[in-house]
Amino acid sequence: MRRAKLLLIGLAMLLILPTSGCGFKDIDKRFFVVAMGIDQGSTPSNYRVTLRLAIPTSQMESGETKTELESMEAPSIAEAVRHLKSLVDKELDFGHCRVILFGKSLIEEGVENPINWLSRRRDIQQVAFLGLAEPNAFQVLKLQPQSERYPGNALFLSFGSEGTESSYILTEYLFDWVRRQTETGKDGFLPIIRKDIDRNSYRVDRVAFTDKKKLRLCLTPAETQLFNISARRYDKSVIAIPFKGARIVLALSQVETHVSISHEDIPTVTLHLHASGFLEESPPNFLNGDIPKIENQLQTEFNGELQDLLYKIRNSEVDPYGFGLHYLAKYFGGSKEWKKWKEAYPEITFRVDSRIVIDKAGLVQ
Amino acid sequence: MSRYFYYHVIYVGLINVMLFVPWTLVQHRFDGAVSAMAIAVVLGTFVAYATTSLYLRFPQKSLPDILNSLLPRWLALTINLLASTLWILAGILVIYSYSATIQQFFNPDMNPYLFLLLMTAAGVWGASRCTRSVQFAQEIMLLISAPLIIMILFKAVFNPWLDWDAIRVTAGYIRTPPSFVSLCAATFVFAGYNTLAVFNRLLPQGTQIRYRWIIPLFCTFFLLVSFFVPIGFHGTVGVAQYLYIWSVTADSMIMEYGFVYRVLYIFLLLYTALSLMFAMNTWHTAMEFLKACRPKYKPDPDEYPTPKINWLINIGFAALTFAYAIWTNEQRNQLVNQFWLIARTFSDITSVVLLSFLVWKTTRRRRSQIPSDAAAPES
Amino acid sequence: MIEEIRNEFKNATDLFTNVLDNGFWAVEIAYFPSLCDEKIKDGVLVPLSYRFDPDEFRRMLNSNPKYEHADDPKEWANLILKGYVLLKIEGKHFSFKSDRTPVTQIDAPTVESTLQGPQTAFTEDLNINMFLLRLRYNVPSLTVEPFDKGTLSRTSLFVVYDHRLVNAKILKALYKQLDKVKLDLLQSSGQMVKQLTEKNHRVFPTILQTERPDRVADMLSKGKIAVMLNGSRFVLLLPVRLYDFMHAMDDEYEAFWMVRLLILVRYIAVALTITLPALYIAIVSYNPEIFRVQIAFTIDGSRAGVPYPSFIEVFIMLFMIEALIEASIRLPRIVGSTATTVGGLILGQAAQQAGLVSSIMIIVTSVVAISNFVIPNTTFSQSVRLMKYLFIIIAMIYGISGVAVLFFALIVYLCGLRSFGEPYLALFTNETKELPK
Repeated sequence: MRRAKLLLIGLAMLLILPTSGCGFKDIDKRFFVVAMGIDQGSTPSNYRVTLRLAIPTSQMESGETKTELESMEAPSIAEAVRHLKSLVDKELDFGHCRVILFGKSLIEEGVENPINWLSRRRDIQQVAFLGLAEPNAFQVLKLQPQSERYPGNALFLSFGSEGTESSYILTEYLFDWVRRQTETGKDGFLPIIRKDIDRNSYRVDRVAFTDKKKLRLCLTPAETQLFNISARRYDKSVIAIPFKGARIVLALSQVETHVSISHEDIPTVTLHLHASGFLEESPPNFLNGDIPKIENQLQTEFNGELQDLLYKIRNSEVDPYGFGLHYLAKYFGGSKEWKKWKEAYPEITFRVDSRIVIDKAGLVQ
Repeated sequence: MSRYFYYHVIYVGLINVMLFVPWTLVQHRFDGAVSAMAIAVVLGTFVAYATTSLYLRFPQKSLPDILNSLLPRWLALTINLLASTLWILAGILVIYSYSATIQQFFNPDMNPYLFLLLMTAAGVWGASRCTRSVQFAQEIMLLISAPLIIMILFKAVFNPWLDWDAIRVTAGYIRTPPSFVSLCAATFVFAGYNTLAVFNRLLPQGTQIRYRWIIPLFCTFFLLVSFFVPIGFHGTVGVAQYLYIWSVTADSMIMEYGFVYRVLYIFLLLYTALSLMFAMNTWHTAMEFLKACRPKYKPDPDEYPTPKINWLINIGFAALTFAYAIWTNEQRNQLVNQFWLIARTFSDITSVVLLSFLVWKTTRRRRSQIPSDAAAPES
Repeated sequence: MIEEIRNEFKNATDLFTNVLDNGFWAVEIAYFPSLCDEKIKDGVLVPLSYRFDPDEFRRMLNSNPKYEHADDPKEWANLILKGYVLLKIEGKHFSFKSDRTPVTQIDAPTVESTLQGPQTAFTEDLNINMFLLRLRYNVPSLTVEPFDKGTLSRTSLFVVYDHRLVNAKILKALYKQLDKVKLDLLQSSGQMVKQLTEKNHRVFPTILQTERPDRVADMLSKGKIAVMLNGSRFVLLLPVRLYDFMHAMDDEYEAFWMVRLLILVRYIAVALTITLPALYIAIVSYNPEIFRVQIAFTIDGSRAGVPYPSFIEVFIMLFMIEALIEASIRLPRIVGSTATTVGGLILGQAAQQAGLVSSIMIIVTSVVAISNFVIPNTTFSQSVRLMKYLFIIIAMIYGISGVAVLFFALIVYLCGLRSFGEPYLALFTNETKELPK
């Protein structure tokens, strides 16, 4: 009886074991895609997919990493990826693809199909970083920075907050972008990534705004920082103004924002911002009772700049701040309210009410 | 001992993700889900209080024991069979949708039936134990996994990428009239009390279930989180396009300094434990209902070693799971899920009515017995 | 008498039989010199020879507790084998207890050593063991019941418990199980464990073996039952729970928080030793995306030269480590350290450099081995050693989800086990007594 049982179990094992073949693929038979670029193809209906593949080595040293770049053009992303598989010797694995770049020309045309592919694939992370590559994704991915310790990490580190934390870099995840593509009253933004002039590192210091279909506006680096402070409450940034011939630079340590919208025919959006920080650069002897004055000047300057930015964004008919959604949330509005907001948006007025506090003067007087 | 009761409450509250409860609610988010949830909080709490109090009137007796002793045999048999169908289906649905999820995210190239085999085998293994062992195993698994799951839920709630505006907009739709399916889906979160149907056997005489406010508190929290957090992450419009809503939501979070970078994998592994626990409990309950259909049945919550009949019944359940997997597809599965959620709501309310009737019957019988007993010595 | 005994022991040339004639009496005597000790000189030979006085000798026969009547010829063979001297004096048969007890030194514990706890261990002598136990747990309610088991070895054993605390149901179950014992030679406590568990092909032990008197005393005070075996250093304790196997006696003696930390470390070690090789296979072959990018690339880089699939790599390394552990148990201590150095350091290093295994795998193997030694109980540690192969097989087929499911199945299995009717794994156990029977 017992022997029969054992025999049965053994037989069952024998039946199961051969099926283990499917899905079983050793790590050294896989090619990890560390970054993916999607560009407009040579004809408007084509896509050009560029993959940056990691070639792992046992020694990890800066500048020693090897990557391979493969590119393919096809009418759809899925076809391009399938075709790319024939160019490489190992199975492509998107599990570690943390960066996805769209070419600028593609964003100008609209990215509906690529987004569809990205959210359908189970192995594409929802937390992959998105970026807009200028002039195109292929050119940006071709770059191999010297500082890379393992394949692709320069890209991961510059977008994420583990490595550098710069107020010019905006982080955008795939899930957030997809949400903004469909959300009522909230539009998407993408950090713009370029090659640095010395062709040795990436340069991420601008942001692009899109509506539900295509690219609408690109900001300058200074405006990008302002957007980062006011929309994403990014507190590792600076506010700088000229003061008595010198320049005062306030490094922020805390930013709080609050938006209120009036319920009128043409609503007024008031952005309350409370920021505090310490002076990194200031004229000497500023302790002599100048603090309120400096604070005041910072506030007026900042209010003006931000207001200009808000109007600029409004005039290009995008809403990356999500004022529309906030309006609906505030007045629990339905589709009627939304219609009203949409009509009123081009006319809307903005007010910025900022309160900037100097906590410390740095280490010197 | 009442802590065992709360384990059931908590894991049933957490498992709603696998029974498409958030999906169902999200589909109706603009036409009645929010108001249905508000009603469900009241209704669910009421039914939970009522059911637990009623079961405590029958100490150490499971529902089949109560039915067998107080109802005519044909009626008890019918109810037992119906109840066991409902319980079996619950286990099948969770096992099916979980193995579909995990196959999607972990082993996309694998034969889905192979994975179903693993899940059903584990379910059979767990459910065929005796009631007491099931309870012990459940306690350990829950204490291992629940803190981490609740940590993920809190991480989601306090995530800076969570869009509170979207949540507020959706919450504004509380003014729409409630939808029926959403109501049934939302009350499921409170349905942990149902497991008393068998596990009441293990509550010793005179147990009081104290701190019953835990039920509304925790379950409301689970309900709100499992509905609103996906909306906060994927927007009021975007959320509707996802099928495995919570898997995608978990994937929207990262642990920058964690050992595992993507929360998704931790979430899936933890839900392995929860789904298996749910399958173990439901199949075990279904098995006890079926066993109680035998005429010479004697309840024993601590039978050791495992009798052969347990194995046979559970292997039957596993076979049903395979049959279901062959028959179903995504649309059918959602349909069956919704049907199940509705049927379950009805059965819960029916069981409250039935139990109150039985309590009334026994008290009347006892009352009529006492005078006759008192009269006996005199005659 | 001598003829009858000679008939029974036909080929036993070491049996000594003689007729001692001191001029007054002719006394027949039979015994095994190897089983008897010097007491025979003072108890029999001296009073019978040059100090002989018939009255005094008769008085001695009646009053000395070592002399007993042995009138049943059927018992003779048995008595002689137990180390008694058989005498026939004036037509009556007597037995004289003169069994040789080897002088045993009380030893230090070898498999369950502690840092600052008591440094005594049980010996292979039942009486000394009883003395060691009474030294620590000496109450009037301590009950000792003797048994004889083994048709050939006739090993004596004591069932010891505190009758105020013991659970009668468990005691009854133990007696029932003891009745079922069918063994020719009972030589070690391990055999007894196999006989006492209901299914002897269990994976996890449900009876604890210990060589520490303080542990036995501690368990007796908790109402458990001890079974002591003659000729074995180890005492059986039952019923036990899983925690008892993870419990070192040091835990009773060290500082509170330190002990909690150590216990946690032990459980983590068990989890690691069971799952780590399986996780390695799952990560390498199924889901490299689970852990951080760096880990994936590190593994990928170190596996670059390895020619065969991950599970073969794991099997090679685990085989090596198992062989090493086996070898170091059997080898004499002096050679043992050489073997571990050669095996662990040189072979591991060389295997990695030759590209047979990845360097990550070397780390995995050593973590598995070290974690396994953290478990205080040897039997349990061996069960855990076995478990990891099951996990490896499931990881080969299903990857990481298989590991999670099997972990669930393992917990269910442990919760389903019973040690003499008591649950084997259950949390907050002191409350389970309230459960309805």
